[in-house]
Amino acid sequence: MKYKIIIIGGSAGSFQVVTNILANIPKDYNIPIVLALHRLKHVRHGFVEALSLKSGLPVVEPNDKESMKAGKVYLAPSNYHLYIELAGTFALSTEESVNHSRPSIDLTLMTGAYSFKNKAIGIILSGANRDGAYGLKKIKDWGGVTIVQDPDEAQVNTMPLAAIDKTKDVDYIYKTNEIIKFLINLPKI
Amino acid sequence: MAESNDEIELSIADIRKLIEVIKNTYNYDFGNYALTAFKRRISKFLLNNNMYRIDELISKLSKDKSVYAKFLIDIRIEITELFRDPSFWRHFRDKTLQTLNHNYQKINIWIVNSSTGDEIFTLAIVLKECGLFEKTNIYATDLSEEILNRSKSGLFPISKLENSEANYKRFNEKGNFSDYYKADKNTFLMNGNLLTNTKFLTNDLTDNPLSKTIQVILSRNNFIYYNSILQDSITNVFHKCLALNGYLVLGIKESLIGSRDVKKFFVENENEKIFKKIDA
Repeated sequence: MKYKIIIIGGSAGSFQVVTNILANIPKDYNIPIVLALHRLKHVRHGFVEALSLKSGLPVVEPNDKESMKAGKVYLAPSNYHLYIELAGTFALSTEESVNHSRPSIDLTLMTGAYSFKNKAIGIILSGANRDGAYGLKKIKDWGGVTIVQDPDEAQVNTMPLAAIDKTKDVDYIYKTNEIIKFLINLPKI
Repeated sequence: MAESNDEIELSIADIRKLIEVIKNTYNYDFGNYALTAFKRRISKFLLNNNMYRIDELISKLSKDKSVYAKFLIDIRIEITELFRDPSFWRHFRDKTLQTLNHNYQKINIWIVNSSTGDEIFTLAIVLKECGLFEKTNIYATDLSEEILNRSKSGLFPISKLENSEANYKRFNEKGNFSDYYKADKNTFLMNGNLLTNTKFLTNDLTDNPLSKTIQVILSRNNFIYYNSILQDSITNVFHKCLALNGYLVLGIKESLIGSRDVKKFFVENENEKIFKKIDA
């Protein structure tokens, strides 16, 4: 198995896509999935529950210093940035918002790229800002695989377009069902 | 303005070199700081001071104490807003403080790493509103005089106001946050009288900053910036400082798991991360 981490960034219009992806990932999936999704700062509860409804895999908000495990989906907690450290552990931070967001998609992607190099996969979904573009470029720079939701399919195409523009040659521009197919086949690579 | 995600690539060897020089020159060890956050702060410090290589910083730091003082301030992470986690502050007001009021004549509260002062002013307002201000001593500590001076100033960028005000409303929907500050175009200034029961002390978290026992230690979102070795040794210091049945409060996503003293605390509230010392 070549890949060790999948990081998915999304904002406005991404919730349906994420739930759709999680509903289709098999229960024995062995690559950790990390979700950096823009969310309300002051609402601590409810989001994990909403994402869990149709997910075959457990969805959790990691505590600081928690180790990443296969078979789990990790959601960046509200009002923290989620970093991925070298040993495959999570670290949280309250540093200032990046692109007006905390969690910032860029920061999770950048730190994941640095820690997992060519074993990382970054995916950018629908969203109304430019967060994630710089991070996806970092995934590319470190040799990882970059995927962007097809701007024609995305409910809000600003974020996919920004990611495509910044990364230059994104590896795959996929519709949701193609992203799902790609992820399902991934453990066999 | 530079994009805030711009950064200078630093290698682990670079960071080790910097840590070594600071240790030798100023006798402070950053070796157990959490790596990613520390690296980002160094990178930010370089960019803000128009430096592009770690060697420039190392050379300036070792020659000039004022650069080190500035570094200590900037390496601190802003805790971002007043009344962060309003549900914690409601619980603290309605449960924790009521218990303490019942059991003690005088309440000592230690705010660990006062940083920009958000927790101090928040706590002072909470105490005022539940009538326990006079009964409480607040001790705010941080690494250096310069940081303490900043916490003391009560001056916050106006960009923090909206969140802080919204948080406050969730804490006390009948109150007016505007009773506690004056704002101009770029900043808001918290009322100075909120600090009348606060003492400011420098402390590096290797021992008790006070000669008395403490009923509450507020250390929210500090552990996330330390590795587990440092976290463990600080937890040990906290345990020693606390009165029996005293409270340790951590950030919402922090925990005591991995600390040798974990069993000496009872989880008073898992959601709000309030721990009670049960074993001397």
